[in-house]
Amino acid sequence: MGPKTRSCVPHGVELCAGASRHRVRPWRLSLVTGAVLQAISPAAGAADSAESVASRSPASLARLSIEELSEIEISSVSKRPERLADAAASVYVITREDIRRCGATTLPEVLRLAPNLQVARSSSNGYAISARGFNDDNANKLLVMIDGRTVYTPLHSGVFWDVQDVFIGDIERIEVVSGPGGTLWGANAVNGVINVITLSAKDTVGTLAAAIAGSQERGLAARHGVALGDDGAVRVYAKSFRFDHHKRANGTDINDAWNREQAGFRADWGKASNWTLQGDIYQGDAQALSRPQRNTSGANLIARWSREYEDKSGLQFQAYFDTYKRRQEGFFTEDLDTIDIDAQHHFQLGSAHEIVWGGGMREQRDKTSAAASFAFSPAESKLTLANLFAQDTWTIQPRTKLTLGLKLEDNSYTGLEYQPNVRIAWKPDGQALLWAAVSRAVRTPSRLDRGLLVFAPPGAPSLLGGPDFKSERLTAYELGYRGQPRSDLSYSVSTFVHVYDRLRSVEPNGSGNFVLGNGVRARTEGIEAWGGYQVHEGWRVNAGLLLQHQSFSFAPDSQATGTASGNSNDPKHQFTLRSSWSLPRDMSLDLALRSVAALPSPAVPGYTTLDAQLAWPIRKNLELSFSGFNLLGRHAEFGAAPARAEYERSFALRLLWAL
Amino acid sequence: MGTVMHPLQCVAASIAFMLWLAVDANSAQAAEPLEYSVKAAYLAKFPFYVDWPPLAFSSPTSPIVLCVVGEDPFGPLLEEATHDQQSQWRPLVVRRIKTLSRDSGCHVAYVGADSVRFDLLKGSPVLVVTDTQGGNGVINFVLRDNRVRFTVDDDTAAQHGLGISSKLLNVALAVKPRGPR
Repeated sequence: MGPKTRSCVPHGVELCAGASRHRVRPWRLSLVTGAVLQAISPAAGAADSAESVASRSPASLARLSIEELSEIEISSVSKRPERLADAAASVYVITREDIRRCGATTLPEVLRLAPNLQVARSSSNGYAISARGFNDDNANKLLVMIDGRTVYTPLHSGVFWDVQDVFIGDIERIEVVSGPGGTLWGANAVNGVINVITLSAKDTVGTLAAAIAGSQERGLAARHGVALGDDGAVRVYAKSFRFDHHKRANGTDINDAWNREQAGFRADWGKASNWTLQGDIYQGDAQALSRPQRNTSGANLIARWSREYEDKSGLQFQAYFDTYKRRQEGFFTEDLDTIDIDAQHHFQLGSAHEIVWGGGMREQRDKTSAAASFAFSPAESKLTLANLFAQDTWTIQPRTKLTLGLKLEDNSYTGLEYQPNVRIAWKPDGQALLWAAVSRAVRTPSRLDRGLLVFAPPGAPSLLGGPDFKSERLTAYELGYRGQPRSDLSYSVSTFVHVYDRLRSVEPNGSGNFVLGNGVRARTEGIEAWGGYQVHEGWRVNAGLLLQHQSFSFAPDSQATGTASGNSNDPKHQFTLRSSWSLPRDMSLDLALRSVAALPSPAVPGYTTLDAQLAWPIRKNLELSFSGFNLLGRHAEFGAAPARAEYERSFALRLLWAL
Repeated sequence: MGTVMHPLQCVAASIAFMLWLAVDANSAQAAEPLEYSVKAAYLAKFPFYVDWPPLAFSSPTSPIVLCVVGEDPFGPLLEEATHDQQSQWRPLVVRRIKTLSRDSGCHVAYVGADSVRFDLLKGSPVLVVTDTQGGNGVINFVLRDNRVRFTVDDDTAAQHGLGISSKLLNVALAVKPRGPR
């Protein structure tokens, strides 16, 4: 579905990440055209006063600050009037300013900015990314979308992070929801949603070029945008980069270097109706440990239309096509084509109800081939997914909103699944929000769950997909509080209890082999907390904390033996601390400290590391930055010793040039 | 027993229904009065964030003149918005004029959808505000996401001796930076 309508976070409002007030000078603004709104946007209080003022006399508008003025909805027909300040969910928004100041050049590295995500690098080109546990190379309980295009693979419901990329400088924001995505999001939003939203082409007129050279990576990227008349614009971009090998603990190369090239475009036009057409094309090749070289390529095209009407209703249609090839000759190949269409309609019912409903259909055809060790059966498949959803946000009284939603999803394997959720939000005042939610989510079977074939040497047992593998189920209970007690301080605390059943297990099938079954149950309890404090005008500090406890057991009817784990390898806690200084002469210094506890199996020691970036405008429109990563020494993040990669101190120089 | 609709058919029917809604729905696009109230409020605020050269004023207490050039979409909104506004010790006064020139005595000039004849201004320090996306004013109003936002051309501002505060630049949707001197 389209990122705009599904977004629970409006443009420019950003409470969780706090309203940072870095001094941003014109030269820098040109580099982050249109972005700065997030960096200085008013938080809940301002948004609230802006709302209430909208109904008052025009003269009273004069008493608002200029930021507040920029937040007033002039016709109150916003598609999803829900603001982050009002969202009854654990949502963190990564802003453009955050991204610019962190020095990250890839999407997974940018995601480290979200305190409610677990990001672990498993090799130069591999990442394990999840929310609320169940992290794995193939972490399968997350919905990841890039401008409305779903990017998890039906092969194993995980994301191949080596093929997901955007022009980093054109990201408008990334919304990260931890916990079930509720009714409005697409399929697979079990433990969380990552929604990457790029800027409208109307906001990227001009040229931006970036070059990076470092001890681990080198890359070039450029974007050029032009206006098309008064109400339209188009941009094109291209990027290319190379990452070097990493080393094992014993100092040998792990053979994981990779190259990648990507190009794309986006056009936005229209005044009454908004049209978007965008697409990307990419290719990459990666060394893959001891396996054959992996070649990836793909392309996608998205068309979106949306319109708002006078009666506070709105419509959106979106269709996309996505194709990719993943080739490791002699080991495994996958070709996947996806066609997806979605529609969404929202309207007011009386004065107290806001209804959103819609539906979508997706068809995915894939072709796999495999060699000695494993295969998928059947080798080719056609999967369909259809959903219908409806949600009512009921304003019971001015301070209290109740949201009831239901999604029906029909998939090729298990037929109809239903996913309801109930959320309640109470705003004791304009600066705080208390919310609670109960929701049910399912992870429908992937190709792997049903059709995996792991060949064994003669005499040894094989592992097979379970022909009766059912959807994994989650019931989630959440309670959260967000507040901004002062204009310079904001924070969010969410607690959750996730109860899972029918998680994947390996069951003996009676004939000496093993099949995938649904024999594991789990319970995760945790706390996610983050906040931001503006120490003074030029110094902001952000902190994030994640605590979680997991317990696993086998269902009574499970025949599985050993330790129940449910394909997860999670730390009990992680902590991040970021400091952003604005220095004299428009320089800026950013430090990011990250501490992640040990992973149980395969065991990875806990680590603490520090990244730093010093940015310096050497001329108008030309910024030079110097970044240091893993400054506290080498560490591993994921995978089994001694084969896994370790990440050592690395440095990079980056030049950003805006025309 | 009737046949139960297959879920796929059900979804297809729903999407068809919404397509029908899209075609059928009323597309009237009347200007919202609130839009101009917000723009008026902005116009009354902008002077707080702009430094004019000393010679732009005849005395330290002479007013900041806010001109509406040509067609006036504001009616009384601008007077209401500027009523209690005072930038430092200068009062704000509203004036309506037909054409903008260097002798108009304007410090802020709202020119609506017209493009600005900067040649007529001859470099005089006027904060020209247009109402079009991609306009050539120093500040251009833009409707974005159902909100009134604006872009700033700091280069043109500099050429006319205007200093725009970083706070205003921060709130702008986009900024054209000052060129090298």
